[in-house]
Amino acid sequence: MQKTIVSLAALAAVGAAGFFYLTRPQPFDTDAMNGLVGDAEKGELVFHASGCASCHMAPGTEDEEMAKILKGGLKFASEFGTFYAPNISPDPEQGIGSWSALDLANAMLRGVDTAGEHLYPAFPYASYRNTTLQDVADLYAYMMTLPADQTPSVPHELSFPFNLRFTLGAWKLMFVTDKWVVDGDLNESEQRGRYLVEVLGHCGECHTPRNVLGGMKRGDWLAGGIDPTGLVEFPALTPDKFTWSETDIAYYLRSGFTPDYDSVGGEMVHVVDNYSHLTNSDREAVAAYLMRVPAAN
Amino acid sequence: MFTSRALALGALTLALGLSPVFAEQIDPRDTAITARQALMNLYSFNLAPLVEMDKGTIPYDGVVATAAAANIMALSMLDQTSIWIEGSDHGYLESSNTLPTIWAEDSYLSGKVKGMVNTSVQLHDTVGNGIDALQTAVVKLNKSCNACHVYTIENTN
Repeated sequence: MQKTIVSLAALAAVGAAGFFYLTRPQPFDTDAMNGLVGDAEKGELVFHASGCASCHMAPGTEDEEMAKILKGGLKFASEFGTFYAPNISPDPEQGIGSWSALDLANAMLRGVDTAGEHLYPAFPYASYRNTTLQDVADLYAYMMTLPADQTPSVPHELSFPFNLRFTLGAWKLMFVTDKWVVDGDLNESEQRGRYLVEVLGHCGECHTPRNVLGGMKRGDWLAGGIDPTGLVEFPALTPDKFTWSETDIAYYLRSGFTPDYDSVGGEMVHVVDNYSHLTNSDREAVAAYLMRVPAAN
Repeated sequence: MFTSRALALGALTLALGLSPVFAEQIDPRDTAITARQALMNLYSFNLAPLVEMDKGTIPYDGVVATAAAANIMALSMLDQTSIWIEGSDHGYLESSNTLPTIWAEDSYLSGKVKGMVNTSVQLHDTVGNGIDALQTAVVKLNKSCNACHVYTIENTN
């Protein structure tokens, strides 16, 4: 009997060790960004394409200059609790002013903070996963030129067991991958559009339905999502449901006007604000990519 | 075309002016939503030539653009007090795209309506000055629209 208990305890210990090993935070090697020099001008485009300000500017900000003060505070209600966008201004104490470009890469691509803990996926690292390290270096260079702000970040309000960060490693194992959703024979513009939509623009975070654990259902890519409040539906962007022409999509992303002369609404107001700063070829690339997205299951 | 526009304007005027008269029979939120949608339809109708010129699908015509902008300017100057009734939102009526957050204290609805007037005046004053001026003015106008549209449901269908 004693032998059985010891064996079970040993098995449980091995299982727990295996779990913690497999789900441990996995930051980049410390030399991963060696030799990369950031270009702030290029970083501004990455900043807009990634929609950083949309979540990290102060709630209710409308002025374009004020939107560069990334003091955070925007509230994201979800079935797991309430998340608050943190201060990511270059303030060394309240923001990310003491971070290196590698720290930013670890947060964006690996979902790991400077203390080596898992970040919550309300920060869309499941999408940012394939960001190039050069883009991170450029983004970092730009972000460090923005105004610092000393507003403290608001702690998330999460209930048990969602307040246990170590569980997020299992979530990452299940739902974070390097694989593209739309693969195959894509031309240069479609590949650029894929990078903008699947990665930087993190469009799938809203426009793809989620499972009970909050992971994106990649098999229903861009098939439409629902706001955690249940009030707002994010429309499908698959070509069977979303029938705008490439010209209309690119124009919408520049001007904010739909093909029936309505104005952009809801969260897309911020997306259009961001994408209006990109080049015409980037907006056309987004449109070209959306034409290649498969119909929803 | 003129007739349909006149009819729509008439309907809008009636909805704007008569909503208090029918307050007992019809929920004022219903008439407010109808009036708002009529107003937005008229904006869209007049935006059409400007957007198509901006997009390059029809040639630039300063006279047509200025006429459309004059209508947009006139629409922006309508008194909208009675059509923004708190509670006349998507939660009350699904066909309304307005979210209740538009009435939050920090949304400053009245200031945004004034902003739309200013931008519409600028639009009217500049769209006749060539396609570059039109393109700049159309984007500025959209930003004014968005000051309120951020409190609406995304519409891509």
